[in-house]
Amino acid sequence: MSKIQEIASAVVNGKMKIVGGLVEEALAEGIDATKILNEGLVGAMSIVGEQFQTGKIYVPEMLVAAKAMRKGVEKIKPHLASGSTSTLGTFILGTVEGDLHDIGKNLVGMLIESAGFEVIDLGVDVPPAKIIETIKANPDCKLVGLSALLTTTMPALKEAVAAIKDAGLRDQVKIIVGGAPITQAFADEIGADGFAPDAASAASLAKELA
Amino acid sequence: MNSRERLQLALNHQEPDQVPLDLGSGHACKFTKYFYLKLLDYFGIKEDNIEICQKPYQLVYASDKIMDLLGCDVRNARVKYVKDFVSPYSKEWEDENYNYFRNDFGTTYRMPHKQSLYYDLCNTTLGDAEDEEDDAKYIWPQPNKLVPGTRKELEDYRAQGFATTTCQVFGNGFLQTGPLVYGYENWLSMLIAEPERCTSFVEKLYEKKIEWYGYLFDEYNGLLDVTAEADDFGTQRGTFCSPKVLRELIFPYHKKLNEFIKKSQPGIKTTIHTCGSVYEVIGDLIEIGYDCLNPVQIAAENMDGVRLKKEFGKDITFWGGGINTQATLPNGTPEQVREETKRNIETFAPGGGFVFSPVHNIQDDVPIENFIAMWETFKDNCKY
Repeated sequence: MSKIQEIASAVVNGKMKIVGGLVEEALAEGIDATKILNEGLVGAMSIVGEQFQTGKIYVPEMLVAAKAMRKGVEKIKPHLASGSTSTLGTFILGTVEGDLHDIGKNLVGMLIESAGFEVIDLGVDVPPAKIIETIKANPDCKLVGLSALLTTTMPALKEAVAAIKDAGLRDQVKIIVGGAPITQAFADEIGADGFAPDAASAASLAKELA
Repeated sequence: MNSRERLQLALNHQEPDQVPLDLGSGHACKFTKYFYLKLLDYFGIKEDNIEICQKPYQLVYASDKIMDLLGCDVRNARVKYVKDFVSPYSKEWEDENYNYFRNDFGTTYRMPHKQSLYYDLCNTTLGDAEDEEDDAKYIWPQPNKLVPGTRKELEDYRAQGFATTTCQVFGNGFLQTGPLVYGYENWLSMLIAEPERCTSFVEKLYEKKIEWYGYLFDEYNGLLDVTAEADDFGTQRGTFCSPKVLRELIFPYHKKLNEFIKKSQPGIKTTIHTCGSVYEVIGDLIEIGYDCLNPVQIAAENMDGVRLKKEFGKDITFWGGGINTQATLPNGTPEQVREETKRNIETFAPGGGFVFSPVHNIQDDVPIENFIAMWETFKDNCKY
């Protein structure tokens, strides 16, 4: 097994304690840092995302894999040329106003980041004005992800999409929505660009729309 | 036939005179405070002393008047505790944006002033704990005894022919209490990466739950028909963690608890409240000894009612599943509500083993006409 494959295997299996050491070994062997990042770390999380999407693994395995990947990224970052980490752009993420649930959103953030985006996580209970302010502050941002878990906060998703449109930013960003009660039909109804039923699908969709 | 007889037949997988109804009483069968006000207004009833029975979701104890009017067969005990133990974690406060409270488990919840519908988890006491040494600093809450004489409420309900239950639990479930103390991401990671820490926690929780049930049965001895443990094993798409992890770390405690409860109270039935897509583990829950499954989240993956009834209907009672509360009840038309209610009764009712209740508590966004459509459709289609 090559060193890159060892790193990828450690990430996929959530071996947080050994990933950092393996990355250091790979660097010492002269393997290109960007190759380690893309194939050993990002590539591994892509496999994790696919396994989660197909029900082969569950949330705990995905969490520990993401933690293992982060350990690897910490070691690799100083060795990368500046600007070469986030190749896919900025992704603004948040749970809508009135809704305080975040675990689903956090999982989406992990996989989106693992896929190569720079994630700006606005947290929970995010008013439309904050989303708009953040999009304006990041004119290169092309993707926004919004989450709602409750039927009572689904209207806030609709309002957020409408507010982005009213602010004249609709052409700048694609909007992905998700959360337990959300459906493709609802996403279509409110004018979102996409719906993702889980974190892995969200990452795939983000790459498609980027 | 009275309500208690009706429920007992249903729970024993026989067909009573009609499907038992739980609206306002049992686990995940209640009303949030703003919906309850709409309900009172609809029936022209004024109530001054509405009591919150579950703070995070702002659920109310529905009055006997309302439950009689609706035809609810189940009555829920208003448990009162002697406050011998007061946790040092317990606190309430607010800032310009939120109301906060921290409970006996050291879990902090907050509710936005603007939204004012629910409290939600925002902080945990062991969120930064890294090892067993940190874990040992946790101050476990102590179960309190019940106020003597509380049993009279259930004696009265029993005399009136109602089925009796309690929705009170100590903490949350064996899977779901950990997240409220460590945080979701920490606990779920620990299940895989440091299971021994999880086992220590769950073992201690089991000891506390046994003590709490002991106090519950001291006061309510022989007066409870059904108890309910809550432990959400499922998400919208599948189980929170693999069935293998559940079987190794979590289910053995549910099994021991069921054995304890049934030995203490011969004849009692036990309900497991578990939201989400739990098809993969319903067989386990039956084997553990649970008699009823609540709330039967039919909109979750692999939770189609027809298949559930076919595969598990002889072995577990479906307490819920009456109507989809994630879509139809809040956002459908009254006609869609009627159609789905009728269909779900036709699916779950045959052979008994069904207590009608919506899939979850009735929230503020449910139009009153949709609730009435569900209720009237139930009444028109509940007879065997």
